[in-house]
Amino acid sequence: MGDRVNRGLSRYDVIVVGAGPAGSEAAVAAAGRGASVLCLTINLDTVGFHPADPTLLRGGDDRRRLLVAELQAAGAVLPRLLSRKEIATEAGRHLVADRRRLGLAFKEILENTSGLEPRQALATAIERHGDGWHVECKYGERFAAGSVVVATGTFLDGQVTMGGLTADGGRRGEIPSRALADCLQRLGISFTRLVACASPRISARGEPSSHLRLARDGDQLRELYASEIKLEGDSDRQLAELRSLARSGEAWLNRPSYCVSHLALAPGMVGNRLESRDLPGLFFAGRSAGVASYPEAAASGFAAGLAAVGAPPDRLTNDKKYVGLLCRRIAEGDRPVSVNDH
Amino acid sequence: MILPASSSHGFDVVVVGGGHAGCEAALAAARIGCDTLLLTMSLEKIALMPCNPAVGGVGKGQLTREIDALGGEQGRNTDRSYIQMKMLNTGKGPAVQALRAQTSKKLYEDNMKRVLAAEPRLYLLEGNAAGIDVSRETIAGVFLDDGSRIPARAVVLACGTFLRGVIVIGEQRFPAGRMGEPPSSRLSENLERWGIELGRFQSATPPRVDARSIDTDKMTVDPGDPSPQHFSFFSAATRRKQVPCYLTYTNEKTHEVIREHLHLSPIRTGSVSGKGPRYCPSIDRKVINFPDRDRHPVFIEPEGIRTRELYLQGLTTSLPVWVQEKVVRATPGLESARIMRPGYAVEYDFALPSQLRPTLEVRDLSCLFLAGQINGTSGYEEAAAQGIIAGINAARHCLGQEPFTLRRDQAYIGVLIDDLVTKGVDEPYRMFTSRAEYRLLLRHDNAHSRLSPLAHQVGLLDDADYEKVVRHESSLKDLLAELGTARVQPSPAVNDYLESCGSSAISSAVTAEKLLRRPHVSLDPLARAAGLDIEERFVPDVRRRAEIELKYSGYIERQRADIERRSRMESIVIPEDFDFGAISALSIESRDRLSRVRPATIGQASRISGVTPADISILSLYLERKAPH
Amino acid sequence: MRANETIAAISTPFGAGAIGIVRMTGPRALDICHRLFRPAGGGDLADAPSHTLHYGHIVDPATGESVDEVLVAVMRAPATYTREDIAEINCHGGPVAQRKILSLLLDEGAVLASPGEFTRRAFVNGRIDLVQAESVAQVVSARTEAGLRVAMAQLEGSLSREIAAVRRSLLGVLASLEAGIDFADEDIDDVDRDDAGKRLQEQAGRLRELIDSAFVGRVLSEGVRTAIVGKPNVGKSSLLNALLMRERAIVTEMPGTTRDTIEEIINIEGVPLRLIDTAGLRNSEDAAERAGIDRSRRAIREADLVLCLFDGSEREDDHDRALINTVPAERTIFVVNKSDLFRGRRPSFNLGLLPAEPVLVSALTRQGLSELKGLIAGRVLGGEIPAPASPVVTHERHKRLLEEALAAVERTLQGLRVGLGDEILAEEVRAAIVSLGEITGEEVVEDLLDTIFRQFCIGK
Repeated sequence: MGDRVNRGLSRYDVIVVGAGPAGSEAAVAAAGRGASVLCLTINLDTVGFHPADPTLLRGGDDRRRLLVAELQAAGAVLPRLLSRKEIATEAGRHLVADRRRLGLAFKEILENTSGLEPRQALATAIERHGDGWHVECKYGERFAAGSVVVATGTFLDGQVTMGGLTADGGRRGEIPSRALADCLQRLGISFTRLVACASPRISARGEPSSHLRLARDGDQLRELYASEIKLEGDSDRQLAELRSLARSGEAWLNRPSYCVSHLALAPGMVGNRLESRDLPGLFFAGRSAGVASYPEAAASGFAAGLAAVGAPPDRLTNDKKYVGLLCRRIAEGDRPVSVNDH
Repeated sequence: MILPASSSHGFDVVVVGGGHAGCEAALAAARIGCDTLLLTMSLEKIALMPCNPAVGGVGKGQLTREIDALGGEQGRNTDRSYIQMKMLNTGKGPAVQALRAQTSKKLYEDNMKRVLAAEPRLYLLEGNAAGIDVSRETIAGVFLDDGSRIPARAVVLACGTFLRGVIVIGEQRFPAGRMGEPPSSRLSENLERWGIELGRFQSATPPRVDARSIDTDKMTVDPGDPSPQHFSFFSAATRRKQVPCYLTYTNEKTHEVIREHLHLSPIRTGSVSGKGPRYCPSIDRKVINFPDRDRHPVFIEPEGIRTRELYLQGLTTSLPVWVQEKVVRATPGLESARIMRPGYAVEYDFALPSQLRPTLEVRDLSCLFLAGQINGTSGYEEAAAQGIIAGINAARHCLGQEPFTLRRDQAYIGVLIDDLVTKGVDEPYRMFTSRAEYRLLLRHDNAHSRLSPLAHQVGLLDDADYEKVVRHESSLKDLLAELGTARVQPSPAVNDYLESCGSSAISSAVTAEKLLRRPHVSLDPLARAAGLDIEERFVPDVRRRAEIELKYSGYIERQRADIERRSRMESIVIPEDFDFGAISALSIESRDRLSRVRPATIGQASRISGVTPADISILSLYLERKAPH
Repeated sequence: MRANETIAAISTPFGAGAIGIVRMTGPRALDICHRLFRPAGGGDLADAPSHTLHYGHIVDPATGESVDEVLVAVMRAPATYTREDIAEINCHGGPVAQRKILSLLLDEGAVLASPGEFTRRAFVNGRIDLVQAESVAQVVSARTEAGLRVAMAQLEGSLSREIAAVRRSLLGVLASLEAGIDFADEDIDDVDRDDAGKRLQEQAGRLRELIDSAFVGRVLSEGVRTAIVGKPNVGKSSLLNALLMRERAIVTEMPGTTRDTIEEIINIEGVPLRLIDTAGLRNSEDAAERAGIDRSRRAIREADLVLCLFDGSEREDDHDRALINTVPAERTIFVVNKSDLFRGRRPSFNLGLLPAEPVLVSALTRQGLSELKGLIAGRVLGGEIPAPASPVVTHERHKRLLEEALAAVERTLQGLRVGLGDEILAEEVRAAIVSLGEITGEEVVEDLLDTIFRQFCIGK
């Protein structure tokens, strides 16, 4: 314990916990305003990763599209990336992303933004320290910051379910964040439980798309998906179901679907600036704040990042109609949160 | 049940694990003609490089080249993904020259994914293997953790470091297969229940730092070769943009910091168990063992072109993270370095490889093959080499064909597997050229003539690719014949050249072959000086081969004679059910060792450590006695 | 291999007197002995506990008569030399009785042991290891005390130690070469060729010493092949007798070999001389006369040492001159006999004809004999018998392997001079180490890796 005295503590203006779309946007937004930012993630290989439907924007998603347009005008990261044709394409009226390229692109941005330090570490505790916060991590790493943005996606006390099997996990094959969940609850934050599902990926072999309307998902593994296809149960049951849907005994499932149940911020915990009502300097964004989709998570992150560096409230809500709507719903609305009406 | 098609009875081969061994095994089995499934915990993480972002090197590069000669993928994929390519040991002879590439990790992964997905008979599945399905001492398939069963006629386990993996940093221990990924615990227990004996090893990796935070002015630059060679013989590799690596050294200040905090190192606290490799010691270990060295090299290697992560080769450690920060910052050039990923050690189960046949099949569990780090090796190349052999044998088993093995005098792959199954391992095994007694015969330049004919027979090389090898060999033969008869006249040009390379002038005509046997004489300049138009008619690779063959010819002959002599011992077969325990003339230890390894020939028996020539004589006598006259 | 047979042979214990031993081992050893043995005090061999001695007679079953008075030692497996039952019949009656007893054993179903078969059984049954097996042969055949000491020292491993030291040093050189090769991309300096050359020279020297000692070793264990030549009547047999007078001739019978000659060994100050063609000495002059110079020539060819004898009291003749031209001067000691006949005067024989200074002796009066013996010892050993603890190579196999190792080291040195690549040099050094390892049975690769990791800080 005495060694702690020698350790020295790195100090930042903002610490962002999580590097999904929300965390990444928050980090970049804050750094863009000149703040020193530390962005922590359990795994630097899954920055910006999206396990679900690659259709980020559907034909009828007008509000989300407008949301993304607002982000674009404000200089956020996601719209810039989606405008690159190797990352996203318009397919019919949908915007479909190559998820792998999208994630790698987010990582590249994080690593090249001045003032922003991405770092692999598992945050286990946040505690108040004077005017700011100390963040503690699994292997003893400790950091100090004025503000903290929690954007842990589906990892807070995440549990992965497939068929009858449930195991701890933020996603399949990834360890969850349990200690931090307990810590936040002890700080008085209330959560509700949400479930997010990863889409099944279907192999292109045997050309199943002749019967089902399947679209390509990325260009690495020749995988297909369809937003309407929801499979459930154990791997062999899902395979059987797919074959029945495709009316082909040769259809093949690369990645069975699974669901993650995770803690998400309950309504009433944060204000319209996504800052905790009782704990100043603590912000929430993304799925861990209850948000439903990838682009909306990005938007909430962007807002939280600006808020964390004290950007004036009008910049957030006045000329950003849908961003503002999103934030208000995170503050008070039903879960899961979206700019769309349910 | 998970079947390749509803009408099918099941897969031929299931490969568990999508690392370097798993990918080669799956591709080989599928290419040979089997319905193959690659099962992995995450299809995002195919052919990951959790450690060094490099493929090849001395000893390892020869393995990769041989994998290419066999029609495997590692060489080709490296050619598509490298960010620096270098031939090592150019100052030494060709038998020890080896190619080494720094790679872009993400590009390597994505390229491999594309290859897997393009293979018609290869299926991919994301899932977690919980156990093997065995029926009457034969493999019947694999069980997933959700209870689903995958029937198969052969199974290749290539689970890497995931078996009961535990990450250790300082005093902290945490179950994980790799950082951030859960381990595979049920599979270990399952294997033990089926009688597979497991051991425990550990491996460590250094921290990664942010390239924006280092000062390269204080470092030596290490660029790649300007005209790099490539691993694959078959693909027309395109030149890629190369990035430099850097070299710095620790100093006394760094060592002071380490010594001050040694009490926190797992070496001292004992928080890590399992043997680690001597050839890749942590920096803590180096400081303990070599206290008189005032500096240790630190190679700074980029992990890709588009990423800022730098791998610190030489600063492997599992000291607590805050100590790692201090150590890194006490290293010249890294004073402001920001750690992006901490270094750590991972402990894991492996299966004692003496339980395997030379085909990598588990002796007591028919049709179960093990490949990669699960056999106690380290390195992507060692893993891939085992993968391709396991895949070939799993497939050949399904097709009812004879097993496929390589001998020590045929390939480094042969040396690797023979060392594993005959000698076992007491530290993670890495290939060195000094392990190969026939190193002069097993070279980078002749891998394809050695192995491609076999690959063609086995079905891993199509006719078009095989043709390339045949043409090369034929051209080589022509060139050697020509050099054997071409007379070099004692012209001034020739003698000037000879003298310029420290050789003596000639006074009468001599065959080119004779001159080329001299140590420092090279083919191209000699041919030019002698007016032989070799360069126009033979490609560089062929000319290089001819020169090498001639330079080494005396030694090659000696080694071949040696191989002849030993082949007699290799051909004395020991019956499958031979009871070593009954030979009271042997010591208990020798009987024990022989019973464990169950060598198939006298030759293999002689290579088991601890088995003496006297034991071999006795064994021979007993075998002779049993033989009918 | 005749593992199920019971084998028998006449053995001679060294240093013993007139007692000879007939030895038998195998499943029927005790049974056969029992059938032929009549214990003096009653009792039965069949019940005898292991390691007991019994006094009685060996009786010829055909006649019922005693062949010899004997002491029989009963040794029961597994605590025996061969790990099988052993019966040792200590006879008093000399070689004839021994041979008779042996033939009775053979009649009862034992078979004649081939040379070294007892030791072979001890080896196969795990009682001794390879080097020990070879050394035991030396011990048994060691003729003299010096030879025995050498053989014992080998059994105790002094040779092994010396070889291990050379091997260790070579491993150090190999490790430097290999480290530079296998860890080319690390911070390892290339091998210092000058230093390597020096170390290799040193080891080459040690190997040469060991190889040179092989001659000495063989000498000590097998004796110097010595021919005594000279025309008839110069006194060859008298000289032989004179040399034998103080020392005991040790005679071995070698059953089953093709040669029927009796070999004579005489011990000259610790140097065993194995006289060849003693039949030529023993037989009467007319036999020697018949054979003439040709017989001598054959003997001279085979000999390590030639004692060329002349009659000093007579003038030289053509036979003498022919001998002088035939014998190899560097291997010959010229002896002029019958000095008692020309005492005080010059010998009638022209000493000037001899290429080297002769020794003047009188076999009759023994004058000059000690000088002759001293000269023989000096000539053979260069003046000294090596100290018992220093390693001496006695076995032909070892010598051959050491020569292979030396050749490899010399090729390495040549390679260094010519500038051959490290990997070629490494091949040669490794070949040397492998040859040495074949003597003691050690492996290369693990030891090499151990040496590398101890010497160098590897580890990227």
